Amino acid sequence: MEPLEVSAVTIRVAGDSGDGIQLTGSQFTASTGLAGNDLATFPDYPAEIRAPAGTTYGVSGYQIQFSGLDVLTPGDDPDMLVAFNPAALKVNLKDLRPGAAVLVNTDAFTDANLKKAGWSADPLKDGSLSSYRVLEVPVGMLTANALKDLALSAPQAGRCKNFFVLGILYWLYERPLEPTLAFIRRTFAKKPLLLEANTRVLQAGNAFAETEELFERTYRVRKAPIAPGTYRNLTGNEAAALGLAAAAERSGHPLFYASYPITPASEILQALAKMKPYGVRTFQAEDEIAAVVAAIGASYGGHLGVTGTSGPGLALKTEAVGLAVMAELPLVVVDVQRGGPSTGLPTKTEQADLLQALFGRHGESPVCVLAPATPGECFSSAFEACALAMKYRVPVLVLSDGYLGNGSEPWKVPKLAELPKIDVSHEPGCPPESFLPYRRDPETLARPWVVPGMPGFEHRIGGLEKDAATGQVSYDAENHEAMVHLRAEKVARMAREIPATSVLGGPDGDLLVVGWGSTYGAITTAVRALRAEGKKVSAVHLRHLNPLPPDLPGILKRFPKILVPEMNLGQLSWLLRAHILRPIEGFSKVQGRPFKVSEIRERVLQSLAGEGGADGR
Amino acid sequence: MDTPNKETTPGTSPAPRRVKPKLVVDWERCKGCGFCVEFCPKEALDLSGDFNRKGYHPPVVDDAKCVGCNICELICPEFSIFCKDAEGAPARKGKEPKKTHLAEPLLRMDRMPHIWCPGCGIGTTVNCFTVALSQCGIPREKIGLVSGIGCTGRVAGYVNLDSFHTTHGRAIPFATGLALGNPDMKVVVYSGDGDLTAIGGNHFIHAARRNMNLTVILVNNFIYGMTGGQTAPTTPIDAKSSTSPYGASEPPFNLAHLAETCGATYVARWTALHTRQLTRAMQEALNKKGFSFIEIIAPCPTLFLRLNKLGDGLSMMRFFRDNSEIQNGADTRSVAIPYQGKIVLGKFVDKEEPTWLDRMNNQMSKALGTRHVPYGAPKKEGEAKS
Repeated sequence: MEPLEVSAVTIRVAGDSGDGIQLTGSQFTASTGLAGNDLATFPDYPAEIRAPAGTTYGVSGYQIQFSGLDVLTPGDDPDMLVAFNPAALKVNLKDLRPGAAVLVNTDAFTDANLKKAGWSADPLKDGSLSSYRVLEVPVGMLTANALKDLALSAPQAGRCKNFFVLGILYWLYERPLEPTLAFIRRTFAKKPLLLEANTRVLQAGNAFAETEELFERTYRVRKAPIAPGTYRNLTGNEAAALGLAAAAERSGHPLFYASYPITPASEILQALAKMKPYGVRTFQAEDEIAAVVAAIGASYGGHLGVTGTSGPGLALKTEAVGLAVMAELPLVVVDVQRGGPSTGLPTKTEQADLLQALFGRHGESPVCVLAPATPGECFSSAFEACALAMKYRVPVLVLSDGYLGNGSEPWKVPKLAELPKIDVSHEPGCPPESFLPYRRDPETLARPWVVPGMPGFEHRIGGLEKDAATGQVSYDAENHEAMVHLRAEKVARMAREIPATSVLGGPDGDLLVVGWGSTYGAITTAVRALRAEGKKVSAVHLRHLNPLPPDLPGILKRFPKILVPEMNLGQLSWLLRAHILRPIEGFSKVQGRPFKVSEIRERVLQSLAGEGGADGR
Repeated sequence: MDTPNKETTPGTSPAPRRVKPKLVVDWERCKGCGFCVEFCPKEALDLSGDFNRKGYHPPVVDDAKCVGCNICELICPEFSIFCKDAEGAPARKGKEPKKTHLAEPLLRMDRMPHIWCPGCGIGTTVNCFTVALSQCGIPREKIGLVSGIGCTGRVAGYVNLDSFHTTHGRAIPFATGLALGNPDMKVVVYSGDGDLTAIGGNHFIHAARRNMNLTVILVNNFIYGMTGGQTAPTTPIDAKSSTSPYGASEPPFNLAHLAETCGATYVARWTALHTRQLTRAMQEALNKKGFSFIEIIAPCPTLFLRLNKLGDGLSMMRFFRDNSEIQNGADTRSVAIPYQGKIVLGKFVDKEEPTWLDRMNNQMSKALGTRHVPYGAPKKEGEAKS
């Protein structure tokens, strides 16, 4: 049969966290990138490192959408679900629309596994899958057959089964085998038996799909019109690490990244630790507090001091962020948000740290807050944060989240020389006798960043309030108030660095969707679709949460309805209502999972029909 | 370890002087603690019957008895008494005639009088520190001083150095960041027992474990002073505090032992009375690579002594005189300080171990060879030792 041409495909692979699901997903992603499609991925893994096999809470998933068109989300509903066991089917079935394909590993559908997953009867036999196209494949048995003449133990052979499935998927979607074969050669270079086994199983899966009548035809997805250049498939956390390193390079300041392990931010420290040969300094501290304080210490010493964490860690760092506000030193804090409060949902995504980032300190303690919208933007956002922190000597918080941090997309590697140069001076600008550590630049209100070790310019700063003129410790009432205003004004002036806000769609219309952070893909895709249907809907996406873009009130005024979808109970809505006197409809989703395009679309339609309500929850 | 400027260490072997130095008393700076009078070996000082403007009795000098040993200059917590070379005295080898307090160039005299109470020992330790600094051979701009919160935490504000006054407990991690990025700087942490070993305890043990290149000077007065006399991790069992009105019952830290077991490469303990030994220990610590730790036992007259009805600062200094025992090289397991019991002093540990940076650079060079860029100061890339 001829291949069926489709514009976009969404696949979800699910199984036990020990089944190699993330590896299967990342291999498929690599092959897809090389096949020339645009793509977006979403790994969804459990908090347990190894939950009991076969149980629903041990189910790990990996979703990818790829297309010949611009891809902004990992897709709403999978076109194809691969379920390695009954638990994976149980957890993921509710996300499937009728007609979707389900590839099941029938070998795993034993009575014991069905019971563990909570199926009262075998779903393959009782008709519960009647509305889906079920592809039953005895993956375990076929894998074992392919390996029967090799001296492998049963568990060793069992671990190869994900490559059998990968072989099937490669045939179905016309992906090349070579990138994964090369990966197998690299990984098992010193283990010839496993090299042979995995190679054979991948090819066996591919051949099985081609010859088995189960699969009638292949699916063809055209190449995406992507600008030429060198692309990397990278996650938001890797992008953030590169952005920090690039800012260090462009500012001529060594990067000092101090951090404490925390999901889902640890990959930034891991990525930067590998960059040590390039002059990046990393320090794994004894706790979150030590990490941020060491970064401030390095910043005082003339480095680009950065720390990274997730919500619980940001809570621990709050006092020290206040210290950097008071001492007026550059500091960048990357918060890869996760479900909270407390330990919450460590591996799931959420956007509920916005107000913590803005206000989670004692005293009047303003900081700049940025938020990347895509995994790739984690690079530019980290870079911008460093530039702003060093220019204004203000802490800058970057709000990424688990979805951006773990999600990936093809990313065009920029040339270092094309990135803006960050000019930072440590010159006191005066002779030692007239040096005052809190004399400000009239433009930015930044104080001089004079580093220790300059004879004659020895100075004492710290957490106590300073006299506005001399920088001496001061408990004077009027001085304190003046300093509170000065620190607020300094952050307010950072608004002049914000580029004009771009509006997706018309400059006016019936409804404006305002988003921030990782909801970008879902909102943009939904609004594009609605506009294609003739709806007068536009969208703006905020990358600057404090200060807000100065042109935002003007944009909001031109729409009678404003809808703010976010993965919290309405934190941006709250902020916008406080700043801009406009009726705002909030749209919350706090499930540890990103918005689907369809959810946004339907909510917009409801709102247009006047069914939203002021809070719309 | 030898001090680099041995021949100029004051007082250890006072050079013969034909013209006696003149003792100068800054009348208004004095808070009348009486340390100088009590511990003058020649009994050349006495408290005046007159008051200064604050109502204290400053000392008066009997010039005939004074030999210019400068013990009073070192022990005075207010920097209000010092020896001045007499007019016409022969120049000392390589030295300008001494006209001011030893501590003067390193202290911000415009900020005096300081906030510490009469009879508090912190000023005395700062006095010793400035002398150690001026004689350790490290240029002033290569010293960074970091303090936490509390009475001792205020040291950072009085020194004429690059210094940073952090939040409560965080002096060590701040110093760690500063020292890692600027390996050619000597970073000193100067803070109290509560700050460094309660709220900052985790940082203390880990910095010692890593052998971070820091000198940690801890003034132990057995109590929280600035916040009102609460129990500290150093308060001895039976001692009263504002939160242990019936006597403390928690076992306190033996800080010297804690530091040693965690990996400190230099550990010494002195009291505010032992100014000569303390100054020497500070010099040694400043020239030591790695985590050097000095615990200084000092009187807190306003809270620890008052709540325990133990008299004033001077009474505590007398107690130090009568109950201290110097045991250099003592096993730190045996040097816990019981309430009103014997205080074992001395240099307990002095060994060579690679610092965090040494180990990291070695490891990186082992793995990467010449591709490794050693950590260095921001402006002088590549100059750091590997």
